[in-house]
Amino acid sequence: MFQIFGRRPLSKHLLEDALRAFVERSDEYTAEDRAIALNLADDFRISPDREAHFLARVSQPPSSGTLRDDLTDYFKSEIRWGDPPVFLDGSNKDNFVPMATGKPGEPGLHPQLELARLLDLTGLHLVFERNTGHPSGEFAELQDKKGDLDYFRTWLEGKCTSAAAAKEHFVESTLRMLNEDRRLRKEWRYHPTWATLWTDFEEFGPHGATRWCQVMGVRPRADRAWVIALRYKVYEASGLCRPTQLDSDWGGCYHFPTSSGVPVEDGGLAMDRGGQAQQLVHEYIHPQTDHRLRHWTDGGSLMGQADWADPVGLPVQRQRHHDLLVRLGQSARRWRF
Amino acid sequence: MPVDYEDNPLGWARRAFDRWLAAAAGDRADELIRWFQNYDEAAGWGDEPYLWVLKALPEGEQRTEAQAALARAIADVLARKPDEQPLGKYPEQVAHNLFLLAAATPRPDFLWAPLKAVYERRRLSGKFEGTDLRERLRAALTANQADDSLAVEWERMGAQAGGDFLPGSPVDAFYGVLMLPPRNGRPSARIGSALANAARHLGHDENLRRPRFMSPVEALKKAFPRGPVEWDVDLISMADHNNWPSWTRSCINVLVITQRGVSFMPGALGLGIESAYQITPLAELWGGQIVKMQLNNGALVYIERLRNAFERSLDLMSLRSDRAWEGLLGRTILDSASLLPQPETILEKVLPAHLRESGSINPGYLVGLAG
Repeated sequence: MFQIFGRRPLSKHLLEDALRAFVERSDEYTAEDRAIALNLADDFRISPDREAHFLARVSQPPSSGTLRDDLTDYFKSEIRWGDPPVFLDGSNKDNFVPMATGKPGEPGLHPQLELARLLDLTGLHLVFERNTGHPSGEFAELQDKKGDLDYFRTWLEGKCTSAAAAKEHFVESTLRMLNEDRRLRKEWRYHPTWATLWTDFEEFGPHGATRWCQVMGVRPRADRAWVIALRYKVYEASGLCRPTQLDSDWGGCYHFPTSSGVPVEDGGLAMDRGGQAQQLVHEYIHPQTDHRLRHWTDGGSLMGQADWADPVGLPVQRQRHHDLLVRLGQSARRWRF
Repeated sequence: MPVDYEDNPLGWARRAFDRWLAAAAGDRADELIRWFQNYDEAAGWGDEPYLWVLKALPEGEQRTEAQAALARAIADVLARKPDEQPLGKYPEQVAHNLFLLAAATPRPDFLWAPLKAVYERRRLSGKFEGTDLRERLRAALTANQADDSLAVEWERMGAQAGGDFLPGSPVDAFYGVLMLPPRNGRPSARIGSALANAARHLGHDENLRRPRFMSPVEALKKAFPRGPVEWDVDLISMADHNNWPSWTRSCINVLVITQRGVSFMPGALGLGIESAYQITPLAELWGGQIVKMQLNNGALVYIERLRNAFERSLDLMSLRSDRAWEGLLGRTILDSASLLPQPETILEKVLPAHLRESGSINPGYLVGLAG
């Protein structure tokens, strides 16, 4: 019997045929499909309640193709645009990261620890376009060029390579615009935000934006994307959770389930897309939250252009991550990669 | 604001809270003071009103903003000096709920300055339902420290020197130190000494000191996520530098940690390894309770088997005392004798040393179990 969500079902599971095909039919499906199928099989952090919530939204029974569509739909409706996103639902409570207050017997993450996240400016194309009238005036040039992606990229490059003061004004306006956009246009949200601990991320600051994305296990939405890094406190991001495969969309092939025995406060452990990691990088998700200019400047005003570089390929990344987990004492020996 | 709320106490609380959020900032503090006395929507709630407020906070992306608004309103109430000017008809209940709500809302950016002002005025007195209000202030200060200015207070509390304004035990002092602002993502350098004080304070109850001390240790590890090995090595180093009582050895993982090719293990086991594999210890730590060694392949294989056996037994251990832990360790070492090139080493050297280290365990216990 095929294990699904880390549990061996008593009878044939609804997803078994679809997942089995992803794993076994390499002629038809890609390494990404296989990775996601294996993650769904092993991700025990998806509770039975969360599983039921997900299964109620998939075709009955799903084929591999429809499962991929269903997962994409689930991600869009329940997570990205969800209010609140389903990872904050009680069915996911095992993955809630508690915040310490110093009350005996109630451990949690220190609220003044700092998080790091990346903001993909190139991926904000549509958000910039619908905010061309922003009071800062920063985005007005896009008014007559809506839909012109080449123009947008040239325009963004100009902003991101401008003098320091102009760049700072652009970032401040962008962050303010995002905060306002979230409140005014509630139907468009961008959950979840993927974050790590600043202390895990800090050493990679000088290595460039491509490396930032790799160590955090995320891929920019476009090649040569402009990315900034933000630094903020845990208490500024309510709803911190340990991520699961269901929170990752189909692009979540770069996800790898957390080993058992790791406290929820440690979050997940990001898979290095560069395949170079010697230390584990914690990963968390939280709902979209407000950011201020100081979140950028406190982190050293990091901005850079990231490419899709995937130097060793997904199967090798996964094997190296698996080996690193085992080497550093995590219980992942039985997992497939 | 959502249009529909569930028609039950939680739905009513959420509706009330959302209306409160929509009110002018200046009116929020007054309403909070009324809620703290079970007035208005907080009437009829079975528990203290601060819990009602916490339950009413919205989920999702609005929560961070709601918490910030709440922290601002708490700061506004604190600015009215509840320690000097009684607030409301039930000022002790107001103060009790105010401080506990602040304690559950870590927002030092809003709350540290007004809470510290209450502390520095040293005027707070009184009790609510038998509990000293200064204890509630301590909880609020613990959660909202924006600098190290209370570190001296926590040290004094930890040493049980007495004489200062805030009441508390060495365990409370540990949590005060735990919640000091991190430095480069690490806890305060005072944390090892705070744990030593907590251990000495808990040491008198031999049956319960182990589970009780493991609670602060776990709180520390969870507050500052690191790899398990890093924490194990750090805790041994803290124990060594701050001379933790020997029974605390059972509260941290000491069997066997390997970091960058160097292993740490209980001193008695080190003796056995030294004798069986001719490996000289690199250093003795914590008064000889832990030794540091560079193991060869044979020793690593032995240690891996020993550790696996010990962890399996530990999972099944129903007794939680440190004595039970030491007994289990001794038994596992004894059972592992046949894995060593010179099994007699265990009886001749390792067990006597283990019994010396573990103190008051009945020596016959291990031998009896072995039979």
